[in-house]
Amino acid sequence: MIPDRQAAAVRKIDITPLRHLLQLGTKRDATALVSSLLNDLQITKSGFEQAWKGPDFAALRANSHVLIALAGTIGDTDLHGVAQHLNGLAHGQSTAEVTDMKSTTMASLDDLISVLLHLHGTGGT
Amino acid sequence: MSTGPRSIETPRPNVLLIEDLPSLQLVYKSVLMAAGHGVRVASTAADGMAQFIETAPDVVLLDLVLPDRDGLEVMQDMLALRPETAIIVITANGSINKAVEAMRAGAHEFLVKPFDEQRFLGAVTNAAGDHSLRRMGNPPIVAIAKSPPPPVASTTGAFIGSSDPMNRIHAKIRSVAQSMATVFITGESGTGKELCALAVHDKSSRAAGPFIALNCGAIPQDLLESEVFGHMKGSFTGAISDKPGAAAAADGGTLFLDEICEMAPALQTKLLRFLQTSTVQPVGATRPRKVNVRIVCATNVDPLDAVRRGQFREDLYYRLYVVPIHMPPLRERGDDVIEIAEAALARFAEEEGRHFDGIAHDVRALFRRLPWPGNVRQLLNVIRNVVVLNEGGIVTRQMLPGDLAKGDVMPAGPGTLNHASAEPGLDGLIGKTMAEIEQTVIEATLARHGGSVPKAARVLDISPSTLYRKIEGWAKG
Repeated sequence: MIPDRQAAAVRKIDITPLRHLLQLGTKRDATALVSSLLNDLQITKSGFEQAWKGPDFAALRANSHVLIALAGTIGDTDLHGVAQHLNGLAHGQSTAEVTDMKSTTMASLDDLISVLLHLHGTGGT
Repeated sequence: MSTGPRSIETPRPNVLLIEDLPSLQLVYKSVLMAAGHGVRVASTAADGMAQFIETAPDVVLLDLVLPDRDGLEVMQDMLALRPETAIIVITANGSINKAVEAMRAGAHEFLVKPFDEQRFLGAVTNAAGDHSLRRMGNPPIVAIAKSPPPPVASTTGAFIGSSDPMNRIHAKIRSVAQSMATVFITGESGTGKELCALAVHDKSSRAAGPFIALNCGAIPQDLLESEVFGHMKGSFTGAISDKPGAAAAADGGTLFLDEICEMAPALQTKLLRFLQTSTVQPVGATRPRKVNVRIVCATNVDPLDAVRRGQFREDLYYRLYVVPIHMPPLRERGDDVIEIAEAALARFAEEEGRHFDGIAHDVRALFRRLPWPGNVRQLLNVIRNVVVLNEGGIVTRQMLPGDLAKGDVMPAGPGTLNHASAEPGLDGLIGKTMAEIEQTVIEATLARHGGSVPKAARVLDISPSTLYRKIEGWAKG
């Protein structure tokens, strides 16, 4: 379980949907799923870091698509919304607007990764 | 993984999951296995295709964006090899157009990321049920008979005809019928949209199931929710018994929603939810019920225009407007008008106990020339009028309803309207009942627009079919 203070330390993220998924299988399955989510989120973060250098709008679109799927599945509605907004801006190809979204997106992504890291440390349950 | 409770009546198909993101693979797999499905997993199009050939799965869950190949192409290859496979495509939010393209190419259903467990499992269960039907060859699904055949006026004609436009319609119906894809039929009033929907149903694997037709424009808006989703006894004043609703009655078959653009916004939201979850919750019921229904809908207005004007939800439009079929107006169907007229003449003559020897050449020429604003329905009304008011022989110009015989003004119904009547002044209306005033104003509007029901309906801001019903009501009354 994530202590309340842990979630509050970053941003309040209600991961009830993820907890439900983790309970579908064994503890080992749950740990594997959290590891996999962490890995996919880290790859996405790296992808964003590269994409913002251009900015590479196609890469921003691709990574925001992945983030929409992952954040939505986990239940992080705030990050899901941020990713959707970023995806729309990337389609619009406005350098100023996507650059404005960088800090919010990365901070929100880091928050989610922190929560999952803590979850992973407690055995994914 | 643990396995959840299994339901004996629900088929458990073998599912092939093709998704490149590892964590989503795990999520989908764990949910499917918990629901009792056998799952194979592939991360690439190449691996997915190889497993498809090796395992012949019942259902394929296919991400449309794969690292080595476009998912749409993979789907088309799979359907070419095993057309009975139910393929559910998964697409990212914002790529609805791609999903719609996939549905047009034969996908069974589409899901939009992020993952929603209820919708996900609902789609797989529906796909499994439909796959079983295709394999077993139309077994009876539910003990509900098809709805009674529509009135004669619409059972004769729309699908008679060998014109190029109609041949294209027949080909499209054949290709779409076996899919679960939603069919959106457009066309002017009277072109046979309901017959087209029935043809889609009859050629599908659900032909043994019910075909339930509901005219969204003919039912008062406050009753429409109850008509579509049903109600429980006592849920509102007048609900004296449980009523299943059209969506539940169509379980295992097809639900035809005519004049869909006239549905109230609140009910559009509920319809969207129904399409996403495949569950219905009657008014007053405490829990939803899962149903397996194919939706076919129709409208005589431009649905995209209704979206632009804010009268129709855009997300619902994209959900429904998957395979469009446009029914051509009769004036664009060449000699179909003669074929339909002859078929109707034979049928109505038999019903009325009369004997007719065919249609005179000059009447045929007139029929080819007329614009038929009321389309097939109008033609059938004309022929019915001829059969009822004449003893038999060859149909001549003199037998036709007054204005039609002159060839200059189109009748809107079976010769009941006096289009030449003077338009009503206010003094002429005072002293009449509301019903009489309505009829007078409608007749005057029709006269001003040369008898064109669609034009008059537009001016009066009502649907042409509503106008036709009123006209037919006056003719009977």
